[in-house]
Amino acid sequence: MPALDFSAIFTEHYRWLLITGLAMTLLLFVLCWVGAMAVGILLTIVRMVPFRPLELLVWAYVEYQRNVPLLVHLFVWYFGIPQLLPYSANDFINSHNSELIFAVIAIALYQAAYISEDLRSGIRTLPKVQFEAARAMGFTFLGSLRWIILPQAMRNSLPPLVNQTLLLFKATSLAAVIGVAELTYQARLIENETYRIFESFSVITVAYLAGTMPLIWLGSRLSRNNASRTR
Amino acid sequence: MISIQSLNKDFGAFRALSDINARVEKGEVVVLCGPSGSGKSTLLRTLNRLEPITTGRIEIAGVDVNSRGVDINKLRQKIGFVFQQYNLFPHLTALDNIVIGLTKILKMPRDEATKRAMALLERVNLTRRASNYPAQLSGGEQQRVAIVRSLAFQPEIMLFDEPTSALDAEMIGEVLALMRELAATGMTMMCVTHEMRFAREAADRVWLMEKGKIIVDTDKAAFFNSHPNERVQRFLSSIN
Ligand SMILES: Nc1ncnc2c1ncn2[C@@H]1O[C@H](COP(=O)(O)OP(=O)(O)O)[C@@H](O)[C@H]1O
Ligand SMILES: [Mg+2]
Repeated sequence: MPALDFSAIFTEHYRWLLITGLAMTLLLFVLCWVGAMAVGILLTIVRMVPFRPLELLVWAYVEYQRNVPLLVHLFVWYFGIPQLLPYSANDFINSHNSELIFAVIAIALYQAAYISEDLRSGIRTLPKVQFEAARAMGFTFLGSLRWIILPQAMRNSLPPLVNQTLLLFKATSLAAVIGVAELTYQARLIENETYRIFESFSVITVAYLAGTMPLIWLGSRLSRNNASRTR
Repeated sequence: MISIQSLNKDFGAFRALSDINARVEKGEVVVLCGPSGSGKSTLLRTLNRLEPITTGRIEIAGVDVNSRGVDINKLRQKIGFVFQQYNLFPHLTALDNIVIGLTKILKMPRDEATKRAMALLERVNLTRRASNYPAQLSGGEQQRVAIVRSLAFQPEIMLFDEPTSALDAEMIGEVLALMRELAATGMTMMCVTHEMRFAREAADRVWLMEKGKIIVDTDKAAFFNSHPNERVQRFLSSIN
């Protein structure tokens, strides 16, 4: 039985690959998170506008995102969308790390659907009077959402939002399939060259756990706080 | 100050307000009463356009509330509205409940807004509660904060929709006392309430509603006199 040999994958070159992979994973994570949050909040706001066609549009978007696997979204964006774009746009994208751009778009749009669902259920638990009280004071529609409704919805939805963050962090690994050089991609590269399959993947497993464990801890703490909070 | 002309309000096929014609003069205190479902809340809510109307006209200080050109958010600042419950924003302290409107709507500098808010809390003896969250306040304290939060905008009209109905008996008095005090300052007020004690002490006029109509609109003395209108008598005995 062959012994484990981590030294083979910790040469200077492979260390460098792992570090850049980690950096890329973190970059992906941050970009996707910010994008998903922004789009998720936007969807939530659009959804509150009392205009039926808009409501239907958001509904269709959310269902499309939730019912098609993320991997398919990634393929559609990376292989499908460029076909529809003019050459000039393709040139621009290709010279600006197209893998990363399309991965961020696909993952962010996908997670945004879930985030807007979480925020919407956070809003549903608020008494209707909260919105009316804000409007009656003289807040605009957007002002009421910005200062009164969304802060409360965010707080109500914190545990599911942390959970979405966790899922998003793990989902960044799928970007490997379209060639984004993040952790999983680098591990495959190293494993291919060294045949140290188990070692390669254990290293990135530890790296992923280092990211997810604090989120899990935070999530359970928040749920506990929410349950015990009397106000 | 308030003029309501031929007002109708439908919810689908249901007529919630039917041919309302009424006036409230500046400084007048009107108590609005009537059985549940008679349209009191709906009428109050049409006044600041929380509820759009079907036909008719409402004027506040000469402004047509439902005209297209009117800046409704500006108009609402001049009309305080106190709901039965959940007035306060639970994620903000008592102080910030008052401050947020001043800083975000009126764009007042924060220290000036804080000063005004503290003065209002002092007026209702709640300075020590300034940094408490609504859930840490009693129901009566919450309603008093809600009332002074409206006053922070220096409104010309105050509307109350059953402000004491959700309160325990021992807290009703403190809220009514504040409303009486407000009435004495000459504030124009419309109060939906079943507290006839308040009506006797503070009202100028009483409106009695039934099935979407104002069926009695009279001054307080006539409403409570010893030979009341038969419909008033029926209402008064129904709530006691
Ligand atoms: N948003 C609404 N949609 C449909 N019907 C409503 C709505 N709001 C009120 N109503 C109806 O209008 C009538 C008057 O309601 P309301 O003004 O709340 O009465 P009150 O405050 O006197 O108890 C009731 O029959 C109520 O069911
Ligand atoms: Mg009512």
